[in-house]
Amino acid sequence: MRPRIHIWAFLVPILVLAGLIACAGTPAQVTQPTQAPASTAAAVEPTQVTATSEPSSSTGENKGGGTFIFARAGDAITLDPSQTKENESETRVVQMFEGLVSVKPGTTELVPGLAKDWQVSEDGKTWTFHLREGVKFHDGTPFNADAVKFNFDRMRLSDNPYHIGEFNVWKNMMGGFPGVMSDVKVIDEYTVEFTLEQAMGPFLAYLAGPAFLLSSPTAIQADPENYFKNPVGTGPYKFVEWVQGDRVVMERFDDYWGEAPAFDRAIIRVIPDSTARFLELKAGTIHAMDDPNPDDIELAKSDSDLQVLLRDYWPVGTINVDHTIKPLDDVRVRWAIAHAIDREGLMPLYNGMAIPGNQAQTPASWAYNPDLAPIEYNPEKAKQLLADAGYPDGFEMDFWYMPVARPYYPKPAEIAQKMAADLAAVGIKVNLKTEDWGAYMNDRAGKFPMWMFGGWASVMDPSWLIYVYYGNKTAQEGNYDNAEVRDLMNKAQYSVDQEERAKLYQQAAKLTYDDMARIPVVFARAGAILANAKVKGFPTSVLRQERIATARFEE
Amino acid sequence: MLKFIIGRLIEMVPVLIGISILVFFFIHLIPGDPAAIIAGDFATPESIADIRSNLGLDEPLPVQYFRYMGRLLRGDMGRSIHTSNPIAQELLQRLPASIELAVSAMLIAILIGIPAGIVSAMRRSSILDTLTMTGALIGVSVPIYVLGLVAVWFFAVQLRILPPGSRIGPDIELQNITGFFVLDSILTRNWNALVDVLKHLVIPAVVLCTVPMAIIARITRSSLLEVFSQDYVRTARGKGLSETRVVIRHALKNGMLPVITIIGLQFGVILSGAVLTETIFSWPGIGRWVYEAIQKRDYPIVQGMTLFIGFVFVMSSLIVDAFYTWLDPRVRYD
Repeated sequence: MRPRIHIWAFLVPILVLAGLIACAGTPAQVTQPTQAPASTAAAVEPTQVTATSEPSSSTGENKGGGTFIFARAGDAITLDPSQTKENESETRVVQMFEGLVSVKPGTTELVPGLAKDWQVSEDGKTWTFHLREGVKFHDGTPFNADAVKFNFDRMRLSDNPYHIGEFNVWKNMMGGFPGVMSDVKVIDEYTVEFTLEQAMGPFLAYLAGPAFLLSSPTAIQADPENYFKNPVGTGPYKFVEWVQGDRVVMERFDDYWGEAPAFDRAIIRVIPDSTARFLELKAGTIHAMDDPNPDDIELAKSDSDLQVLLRDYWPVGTINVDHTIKPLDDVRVRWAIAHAIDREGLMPLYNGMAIPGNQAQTPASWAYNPDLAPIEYNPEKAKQLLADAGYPDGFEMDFWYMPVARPYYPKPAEIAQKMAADLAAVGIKVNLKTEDWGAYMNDRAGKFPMWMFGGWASVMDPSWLIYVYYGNKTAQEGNYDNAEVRDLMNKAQYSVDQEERAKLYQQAAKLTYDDMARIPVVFARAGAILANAKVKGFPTSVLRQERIATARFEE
Repeated sequence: MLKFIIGRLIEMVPVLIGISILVFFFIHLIPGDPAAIIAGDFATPESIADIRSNLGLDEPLPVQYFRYMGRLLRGDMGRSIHTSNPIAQELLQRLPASIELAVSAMLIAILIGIPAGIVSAMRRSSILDTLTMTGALIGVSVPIYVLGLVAVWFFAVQLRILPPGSRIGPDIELQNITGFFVLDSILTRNWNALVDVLKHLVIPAVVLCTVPMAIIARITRSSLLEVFSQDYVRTARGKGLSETRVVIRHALKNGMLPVITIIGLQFGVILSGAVLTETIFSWPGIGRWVYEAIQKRDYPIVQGMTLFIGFVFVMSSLIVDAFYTWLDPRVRYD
């Protein structure tokens, strides 16, 4: 009896598989004829399938149409702008939300957003914003001063019923709850006034950041717990669907106050593997991708179907030293190290993604000091400086290199070896060491005499980086102790006049340069985007927050 | 039989507890601090300490362990450190993707691997046998990463007949009912979606099936060869039965025992360990999720998932054992 059942047990799955193969085989041929030129095939194909399957809820008006698909390595954690604290979530929310202040796409310049203009009082503590009129949230809720107050009260007041979650960026930038913002007043329907406890230089830049983009009060009130996955803003694209670990789908918001975006839909997909992302771009199933392999950038340059969009120089890589450890406490020794490093010689390790650096701000920042000379590679001078400092035979020291790759040190071990060889050439024998990144971050405060480090401002304000570096004397920043620099930093931190601030930062840059407070190595690009050659109007952002709104296809 | 299953389920408890202890202490031995990772590159030591205490990571390990197990017994797998989402919820959301991929891959592996093994055994030392076994050797030797990317390059980039990754085209609308996209599209009679989902399954499933298929083919072959040398097969042949009948009705049944074992184990392996496949094909399943969790030191996910994977393995070996009684009447569990 039984054996027959067994044969069937094998036969049935075979039939199923045959069916599967048949199903998978034929449709490929059915959809095949729809594709004409190879490069647009995949973009055309899915749209056609939707058209035949279910009526799409999107608009009937045709303003160009189509779908733009951007691929990133990771998924968002939240789509609630107030809770964003990392770049993946930021990339999604900037498509759907706007703040009072915006960043002009492709630049580091602050421009009016949902506020058409603003004034600040003499003491820098009272800010009055005049709002754009006739703006609506995606759910139809009118945008007005009440909506602004609702958002800011939610962020800053820990006893607000909708203050659910960490509001991490608010906490860090505004100094807690309520932090520096003591009041938000509705003056009239389109005027709102913020009162700060003290003047705050980077205030406008903060307001332009993803964590301060404004949400629909109605949507938050409707379901505060799940707002992070049902976001409602005022931006050019509105939220459709978030398939976690896979994609965020958005569609054009027809009542948008500004210029309508070219695409019906914008999708940000998660493709974790960088080679797979590149292959999808080549296959035409995505139109742009972030974080390519360095080798793929080279391939894309020579591929007429693709283009390379380079972000500007923004991250800065340095060698940090502990100023309390001998002989690093001697400025001549620090300059000797600076002169010993062959920065040009490091460039092959960066694949064209960096240039030699000489300060803590890149030329893309308004705080950059253009008067500082490049740091010369001069081993003889380095030896001389060491001799002057009383170390004619050099010295020996531990040199810690990073265990993780960052744009400013994409190959930390190889870069460290090269720098160690440069240092050895002038008599400084370094022992290369490393440890886990978490431990590294802790141990730089006190344990390391000399270490590789770097960073970039995650808001459009220099203070975010250099105030951390020089605003206080801290062990993790190398115990650099210069009261004059600290004074300049604090003045700049509390001034609301950008020109004045720029001067203060440039003065500080000169002082830290003379002190060689930390040894600048490179200015690195904030990365690169590879895109299909037909993509136009997709400006890069040094903060890696590219907006799809202005993108379009041009054959 | 029921007694056997209940007994095995009870035996599972100490195994899972053992796994949980090992994992819990091992993962904390790996250097790296989730608090430092969350805090980012500009963190102060104070903010790291603050995060650490919020997460309860500043308590002694045994305390953390018992807290964790206490919650687990109440059905609470905890929350991800990184996203704060409940782990059980994320697991349920990602599991269907992995199961769908694993079942497809296993189906292909079995349907090709077993016949290939049979043919090889029947035509031992023939060219066909050599070819099949060489193929099997290549199947286990070629790294999935290479095979996957080459397949994508060829079928998606050059020929453009199959999509390079993901479970479904970005513009396809599919109502999510079970999370199994093949099933969902059949249930909703959404044939466009079904076609798209199947197309998306082909490359990942074929790539993922190579190792189990090769192993199944080899085991089938060697196991059948062993059976062929036994007396009852000689008797069957002596009766004048056709070779096909001898193999299928007599030899195969005995020869299948080790194959079933391997299938069970391999299923566990590809369900839990399809990390590379899921990464290359942007497949939102559990393998990639655990891998990313390990990188981020997301302890609760790693702990929860290791236990879950342990559970999958114990269950698959239980099912295999249960299969034995059906396949071989001499095997009895009393």
